[in-house]
Amino acid sequence: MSSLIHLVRKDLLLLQRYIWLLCIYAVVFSGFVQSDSSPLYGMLPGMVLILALNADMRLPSQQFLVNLPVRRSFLVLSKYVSAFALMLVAFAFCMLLNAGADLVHGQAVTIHPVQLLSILLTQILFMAIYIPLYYWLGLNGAQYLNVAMIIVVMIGSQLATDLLSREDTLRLSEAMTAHPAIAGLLGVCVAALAVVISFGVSNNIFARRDL
Amino acid sequence: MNALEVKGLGKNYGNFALRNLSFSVPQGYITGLIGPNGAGKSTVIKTIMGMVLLEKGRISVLGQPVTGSEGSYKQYIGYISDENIYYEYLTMEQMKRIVAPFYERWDEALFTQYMELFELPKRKKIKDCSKGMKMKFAIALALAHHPTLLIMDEPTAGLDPVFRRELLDLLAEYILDENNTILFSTHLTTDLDRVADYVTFLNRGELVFSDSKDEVLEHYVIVKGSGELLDADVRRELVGVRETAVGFEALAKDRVKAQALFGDNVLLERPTLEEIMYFTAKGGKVTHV
Repeated sequence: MSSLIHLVRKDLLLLQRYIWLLCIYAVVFSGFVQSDSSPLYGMLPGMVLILALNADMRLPSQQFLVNLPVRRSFLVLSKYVSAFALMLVAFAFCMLLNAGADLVHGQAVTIHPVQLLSILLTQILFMAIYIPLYYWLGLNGAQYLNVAMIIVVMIGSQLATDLLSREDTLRLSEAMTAHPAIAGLLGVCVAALAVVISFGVSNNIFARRDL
Repeated sequence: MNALEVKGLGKNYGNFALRNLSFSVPQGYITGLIGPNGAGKSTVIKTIMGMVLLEKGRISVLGQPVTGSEGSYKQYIGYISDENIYYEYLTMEQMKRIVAPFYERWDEALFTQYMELFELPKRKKIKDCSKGMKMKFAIALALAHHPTLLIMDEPTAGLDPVFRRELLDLLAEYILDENNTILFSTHLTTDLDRVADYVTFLNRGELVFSDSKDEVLEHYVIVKGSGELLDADVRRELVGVRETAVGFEALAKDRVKAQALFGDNVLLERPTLEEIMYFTAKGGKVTHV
């Protein structure tokens, strides 16, 4: 367990050099600058995820990690924990930033728990798909994957907005709003299952890799 | 007792393979892992460290079996890679802060002592360090957690002679503790002539020998004589031959047999590890000069 904490701490340390970049990025895409701040919720946690994984995807870095007195599966698990924790922090930062922007623009700060939970769960699903692909493709393949994923996130947020305004989706949304606890629980279960399967796949890929 | 045992190690890469390697590294001694470039030295070390996965055979380190997934045995190993494996954009102090918590026996005072000995500035970024500084930093990190087995992959390659000599002195000091063991991979055999107790020689993925250095140097012999002594039967007894205008120089595996074969017609000399490596790598190929 302590190894896991040290590995997550290592990821935080490695991400420190991107803090200013992420802050500038967050402000640019927030409600302070943009009239529609929704891309921020998709882009910032996604970027944090990519940066956290990129930090030690180079072969020498992976060799360093494997030389530590830690099981390989812990190295993979730590990536999930770090990515989840960092995405959560990025998500909370987005919320704070947009709430601040609302206040500055004289608007009331409104929180939509169902909507926020949906976004968060979508990001977790994104993470569950992204990490195994990353382990499978390695650093070079992952560069193309990153571009593809950024496009997916950008187009995806637009598609999601369109989807949410459709009549049948609205009905589903209403049903979810009517039963928020059940909908939330179902969403959390799906996301958790996706993460467990994703971890199993990533672990299997990394366990068979020569470095 | 052996600090490291390798039995029947096999790994196939298509164009290169390690074939049924078996050797051991006795505890309390310095063992040199030698061989020309591409012999498989780094692959063997990477397999011991879990970077390359075992296909065939088994490895045990300090009595613990090595598997690709297990990591706890590395608590007792200090590993020094032939190239920098640390995060280039971090300072040495930041890198140390990442490494130290993983080791139960991390000794901060010892680490500082090595950093001072090697005159390494803690706040310097690794990317701004010379190759020698990076190697010194790797040594400081490896030794600061009191490893009982030190594994070094080509640590002296590219280093200046002054630091190479200092490193060998450091190793001699480390091995004074009889619980400590060193496995030292190199193709610069002059380093091993100075410090090694045992030698394991790999060539083209196969084990040539693994024995005490003195035994090896006693057993093998350099034969120098006139070219007319060389016929097909004689050549079969030689590991490798180098022919010149004035005669030949060859390596024989068995000094006693060579003495019986040539009598007083040749000059027999004790070989160096480099000569053994050279003639063995050349194999049956005759070299004309």
